[in-house]
Amino acid sequence: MYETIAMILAGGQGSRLSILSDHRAKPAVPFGGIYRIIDFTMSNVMYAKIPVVGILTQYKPYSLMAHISTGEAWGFTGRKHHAKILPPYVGEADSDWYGGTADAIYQNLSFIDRFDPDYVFVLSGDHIYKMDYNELLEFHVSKNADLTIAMQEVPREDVHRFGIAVTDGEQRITDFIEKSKTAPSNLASLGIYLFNRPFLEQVLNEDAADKNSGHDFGKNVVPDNIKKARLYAYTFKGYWQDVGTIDAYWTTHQEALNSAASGLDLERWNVRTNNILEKLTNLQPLRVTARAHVRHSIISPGCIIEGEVYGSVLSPGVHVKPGAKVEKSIIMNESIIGEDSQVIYSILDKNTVIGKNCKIGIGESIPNKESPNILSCGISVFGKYAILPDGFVVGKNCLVYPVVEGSDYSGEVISSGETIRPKCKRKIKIR
Amino acid sequence: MAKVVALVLAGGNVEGYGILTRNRTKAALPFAGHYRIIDFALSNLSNSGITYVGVITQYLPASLIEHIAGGEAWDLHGSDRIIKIMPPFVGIGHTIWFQGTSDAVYRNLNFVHDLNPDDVIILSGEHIYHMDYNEPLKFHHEKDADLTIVGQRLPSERLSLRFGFLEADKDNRVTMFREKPPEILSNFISIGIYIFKKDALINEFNRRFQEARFTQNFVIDVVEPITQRLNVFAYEFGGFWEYLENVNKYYQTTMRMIGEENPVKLADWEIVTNPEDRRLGTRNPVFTGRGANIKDSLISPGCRIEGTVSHSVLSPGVIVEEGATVMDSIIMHDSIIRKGSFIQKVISDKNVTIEQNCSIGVEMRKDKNNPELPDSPLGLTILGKGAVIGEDIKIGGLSQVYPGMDLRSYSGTHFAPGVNIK
Repeated sequence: MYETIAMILAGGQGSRLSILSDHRAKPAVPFGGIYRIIDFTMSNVMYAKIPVVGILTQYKPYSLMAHISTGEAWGFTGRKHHAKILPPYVGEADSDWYGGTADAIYQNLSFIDRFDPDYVFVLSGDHIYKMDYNELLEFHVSKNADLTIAMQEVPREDVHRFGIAVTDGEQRITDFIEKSKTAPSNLASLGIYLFNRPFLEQVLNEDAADKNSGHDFGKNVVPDNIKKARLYAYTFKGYWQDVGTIDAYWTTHQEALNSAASGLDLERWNVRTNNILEKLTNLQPLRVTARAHVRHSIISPGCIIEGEVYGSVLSPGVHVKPGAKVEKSIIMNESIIGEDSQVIYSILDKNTVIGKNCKIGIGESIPNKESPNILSCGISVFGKYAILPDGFVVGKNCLVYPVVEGSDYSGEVISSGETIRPKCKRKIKIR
Repeated sequence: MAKVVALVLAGGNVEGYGILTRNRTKAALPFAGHYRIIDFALSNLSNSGITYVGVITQYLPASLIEHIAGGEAWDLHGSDRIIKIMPPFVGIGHTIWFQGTSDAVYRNLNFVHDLNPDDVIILSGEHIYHMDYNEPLKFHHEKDADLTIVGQRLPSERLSLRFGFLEADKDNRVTMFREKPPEILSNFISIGIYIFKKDALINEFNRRFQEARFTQNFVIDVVEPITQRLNVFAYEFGGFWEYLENVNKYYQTTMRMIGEENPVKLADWEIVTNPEDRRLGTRNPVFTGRGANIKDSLISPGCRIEGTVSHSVLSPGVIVEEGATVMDSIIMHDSIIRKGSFIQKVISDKNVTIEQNCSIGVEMRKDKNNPELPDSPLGLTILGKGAVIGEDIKIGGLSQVYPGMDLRSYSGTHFAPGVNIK
């Protein structure tokens, strides 16, 4: 009945995104002003005219479910178009990702059966890229493949973060090593799989029966079938990025500001988002006052700029007050930067309030003392609804937790590498 | 609570807007970037909880029909919430198109009959204001009025013969009402919002129809006679209200919205537009280049600014290339201003292309006027929808380039101020 359908793995916790993914799954983390990370994959599916998409959720799915809603924003409504959220079954053990990526799809085979497709895309909701999946499908068909994996050459020092393939002259995969520092090549899997549907059912059934399997595509299903089946690597030349860390998240935003050099061209990609939820449609045009300076930035509707904004990405409704300066930062919805404050190399989650005459992101780059692995690139991060009182100074690699307010700080100077938490449980006050 | 039906008059022929209203009604004119003028009336109705709305059009309704669509944008779509567009029609007994507002309302009275409300509020879709209609409705019920006219006292410099003039006694009872008389009769004018008891409206229409005494103007045919016979009161509205009588006023009102003294509080007033119109809802954020210089402006989603934009309002999808300058201008959807061009005091309709190194609206001649535009010290130049201005073209102020004109073969030409290029 259907040629292709898509399954999106959207359960990622994104723990290395720190407090940005405290309240939401990684695919629901805002990106590029008005988007969320999953919008990139959803839009790719939409532009490929794949009519059915299943979105597999697990970790903190509320913002993601609200965001996907009926799928109408991506055209998934109508008699033959469907977008369905597929949470784990009730009673499922509270473990990582159902029981692994392959298990997540295995448990939803009946969803796939309903549409009787010839091909199934298994995608991730964590990545920033634009790909024409139909080119991948053409390649897959031309190779008479059972499974095709989209791949890209990555820098040698990054190979340990990926599944790495070795291919023959025909791009057939002859070896596959998951996340190893001694990988024999730098051809990395982008987590984009295209399966023949009978093959998918067969290998998932086999994997489910294998008690020793970790039920993961990269660790188990792919390596186990290299000899038994026809697995191919499709080389993707375009921009692709996993924004899994604070550093990558910030750098990727800078790349969006330099689209000609980076290839991350939000303006041309026309990524769709669900703007009804974000009330985007009620927002006024961007307002820039007579004394403002705005350059080299992406600014969403509803923002009011009375100060200076350079090299930054602003979500809807951000207010930069007179004399304030925002540089090389990412400021999310409805945040306020007070008069004469300076914000540099920072990420401010939604509804943050920075007082007057504050300075954020200055001084030495000392790694975060509590979480040096997560925060050492020099970026300071403020959680949702955090407040910084007038005149405070915040260094680099600082972490200010959501809903922190004045009484939670022990002094007016927060040195580089410090972490500030609320001293008591506190509800978010909706302004 | 009384049941109220609203009829929005959104379709008269408009003068004073030059080519901007050649292919659309004034209510459908883009305003403040990504809105249209009718969004104010529709948002006010929706925010007031008035959920039965008929939009009466007589003139070029296509862009309005597209804009209003199913009414979802204003939450006027649901089991007890409807918005219905009433375009002109001909049929048995009606062999000619609507002849003015009276006829247009009369022929659509079925909408009122079917819904059978207590009151009918008839208002214009062409004005910029914010009103909770529950206030005048409450007044209307307290006075047990057959008709309540919403009015405003204006300073003498704003009075003109285009208004209806009111006088009221200390109980707010209307003692005089004349629409568009030959002389100014008072400083208390009707702002085009009329609340009728349903029966008073229907009876008056039937009476006038039997007497076959329709002129063409609903206010003259129906409102004026009622004021002479029935219980009519005037409700004074003290808030901001703007009539946008011509393109100069449209421009000035738009420009006031840029400044710190902006009287049109879009966010506070909860003015919403249809995100489906011209793909507003799927536009990107604003991209600003390294050489961008933006000051004192409103910029809609989907714009890309590489050059200078000063004291201007840009609708969605406008591109200002590096080295181009846009000053004191209103640029509508998806227009492009290429490198090295300089435009000032221009209203550019949708999809206009200005090629490189043009100069538009800069050169002025005080003694000039344009027979197709209202007199104006502003010297505005209007570029029609889809016009293409070729490279190195110079067009003086107070000029018009007609919609669809392709001037690429006129590269290097200098058009003096005050011309109409057709």
